[in-house]
Amino acid sequence: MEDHGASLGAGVGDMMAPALISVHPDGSCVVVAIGAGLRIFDLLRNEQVVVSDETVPARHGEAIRAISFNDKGNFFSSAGDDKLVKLWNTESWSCIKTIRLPKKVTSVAFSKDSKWVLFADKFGAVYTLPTAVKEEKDEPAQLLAHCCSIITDLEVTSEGKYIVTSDRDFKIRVSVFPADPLKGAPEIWSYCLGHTSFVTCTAFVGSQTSGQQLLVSGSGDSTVRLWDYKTGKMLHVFDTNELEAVRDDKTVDCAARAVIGLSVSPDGSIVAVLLERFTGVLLLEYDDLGKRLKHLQSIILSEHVVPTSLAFDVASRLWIVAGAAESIELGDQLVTPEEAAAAEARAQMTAKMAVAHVRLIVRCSGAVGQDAEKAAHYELSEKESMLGGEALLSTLEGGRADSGEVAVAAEAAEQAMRKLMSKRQYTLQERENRKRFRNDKKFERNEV
Amino acid sequence: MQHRRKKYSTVFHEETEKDVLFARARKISAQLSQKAMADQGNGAREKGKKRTEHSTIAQGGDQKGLPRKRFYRARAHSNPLSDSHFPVPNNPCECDWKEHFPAFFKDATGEVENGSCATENMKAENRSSENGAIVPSSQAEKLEPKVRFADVGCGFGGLLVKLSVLFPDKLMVGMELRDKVSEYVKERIHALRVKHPGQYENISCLRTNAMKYLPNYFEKGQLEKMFFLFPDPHFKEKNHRRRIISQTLLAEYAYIMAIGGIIYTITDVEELGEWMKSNLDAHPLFEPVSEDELDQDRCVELLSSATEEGQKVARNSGETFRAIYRRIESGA
Ligand SMILES: C[S@@+](CC[C@H](N)C(=O)[O-])C[C@H]1O[C@@H](n2cnc3c(N)ncnc32)[C@H](O)[C@@H]1O
Repeated sequence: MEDHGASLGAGVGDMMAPALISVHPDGSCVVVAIGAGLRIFDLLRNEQVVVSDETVPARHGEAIRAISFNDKGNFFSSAGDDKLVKLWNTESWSCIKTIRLPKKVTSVAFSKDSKWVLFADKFGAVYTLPTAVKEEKDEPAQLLAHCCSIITDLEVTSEGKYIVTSDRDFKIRVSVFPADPLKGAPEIWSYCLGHTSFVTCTAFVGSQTSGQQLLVSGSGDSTVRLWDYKTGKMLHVFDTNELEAVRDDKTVDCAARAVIGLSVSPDGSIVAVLLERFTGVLLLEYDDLGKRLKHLQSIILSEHVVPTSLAFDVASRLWIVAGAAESIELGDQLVTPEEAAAAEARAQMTAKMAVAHVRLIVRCSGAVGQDAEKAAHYELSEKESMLGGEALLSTLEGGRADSGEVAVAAEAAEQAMRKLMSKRQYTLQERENRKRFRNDKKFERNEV
Repeated sequence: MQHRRKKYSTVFHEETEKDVLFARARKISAQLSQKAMADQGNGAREKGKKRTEHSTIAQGGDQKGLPRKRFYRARAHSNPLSDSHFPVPNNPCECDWKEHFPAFFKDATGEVENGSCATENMKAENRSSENGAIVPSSQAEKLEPKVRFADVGCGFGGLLVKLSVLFPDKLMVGMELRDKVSEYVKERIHALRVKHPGQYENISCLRTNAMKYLPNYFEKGQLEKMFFLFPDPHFKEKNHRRRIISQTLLAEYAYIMAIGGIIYTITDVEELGEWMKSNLDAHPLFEPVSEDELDQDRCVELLSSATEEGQKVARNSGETFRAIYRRIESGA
């Protein structure tokens, strides 16, 4: 009666889905996912990429919630509320696989050898599927599951040995990447426990070659934490509430903000942080010796731009998107193919019209003189001189974005995330009422 | 529902001391007294004889003695998958075991520093090289004793009471989802401690959802034994994911168990017995314990005799199905 799905279901219909951004590992293209749509820009040819998809169904019918490239960059995956996982070949930008899962997908990742795509669903399960195209039909295999929690992020460590999953119940779990993924990942290696609210995202800091990478995680408790993921030891807590830039942001009442996004620069030294309802980006520096995170810089975008997703590219440029699309809930009752097609078309339409802001933050090379100490310094690119120029903006932003509109959309997206992540709080009265209508309780009352 | 309810409404089993002991007046009984009065009628009909034995207590005034189960009558089931509303420690370092086992923490330094979790984790990580279970040095165990046995879904605590005297040096905890039942067990243990000074100091009970929060209480490799006695069967297929043994949950149990640790399961529901066995068989981190070893194991006979549920099954000469497995190292 009080199943997990049901308790989340209510109110989901009026949700906004935040825009997502991802950059090809070699920096050759940028992808924005908004609503059910993918917008891809090729930076080498300086033109929009048109995808081809002959799988069934050929388009996402509801909001995309997760996108990812594999390390080599030859694959890309998109997945979301329509329970579809799509695997793309990035050379031709054609969809090579579409599978349907029983539940909405929240996160995707690839194994380090690129042989497997992994995805997590709203029931706390992680599945995998081989990336190789085969004759026979693909069945996803379950790798692991968090008992009755939503998995919020899924990553594979750089040496490929562990799967890191974070959930709504404050937990980060580290599982051993199995020799045969089709047989599941039954060995839990560690837990990173310490967050005092839902965990939203995870990433890795430190140099990849050193083999000494550490985990960073963001949470509804507005901290970014640093972990030794092999032992589960918490090494440092960075509380974003302590930053002036965050406190001074006047755009909203100053309730604690959840950390909603993390991206780490390719050398593993800079952590870019997005906060809920915050019109900027925080840059933290990872101190490899001290095993700490230090505030480096806060970059405020503009009053109306509330970023929803961010990604460093190979050249340490930080791509940021702000935007959201109405997420149209199809529901499970949808039966006829016509209905499905109509709903899908509507979702695609909404996605096309949705506006987003795309911004670029670049590293400014070497300050001179006494400032040499503060060499690492980032600046917001002028829109006019941005990489990709006008063509990129018109592809990714979807027409000229009206900033007010985007702000409203982003705000709505944040709220939707809140709703999703925070457990429903009932007042005492409500709880009593709910109890009263429970069948087993009725039984007891009658008897007394 | 109905049959489950009845199950728990039987007054607490005979053998638990007719003696009336000195115990602190119980807040809980007071709160529940109204309900108890209502129950009294039914109780009397069912077990007339016992009523007289207990009536002095029920009549209030200075209430002394072991807690009676009927005061703690609770809903037959809680859905283990729904969100809970009780405090849960963030991680094992935040568990205050001192409160549960004051006698064991008397000589302990008291200050459990924050990094200790990680040290245990490190130990756990190295354990493969040490060839098997982490055997904490008796010294370390004395300084900072750790819970080594867990009775998951302990119900009214019969197993803990029996295990307590068998393994007086091991700390053990019962984990129970239903609030009133866990309160009952706490009271029961308290009363036993008062009656037998120096004994029953090594057992305690926690209200928690073991399906969700075990890693919040125990570190990697901490537990030497885990017990699952007569767990709720959740017959319907769509409720199978509420079962306390599953591939998903076994991964968690394997994580908190020491290599070489033993997991004990027993049920009177054949289908559930099959389910638990096949899940354990399918999990690469567990192997069945041989019959020979089982014969030597002092815990085995308690499985069917120590708990309230077990006794009930025995009274009805019901058949039981057990599956007992060892946590083994990963083959990979
Ligand atoms: C049928 S009773 C058996 C009790 C006891 N082991 C015995 O043998 O008498 C099962 C118990 O498990 C408890 N339980 C069920 N799910 C649980 C969970 N997820 N965490 C803790 N306890 C749970 C129930 O509240 C119930 O008391």
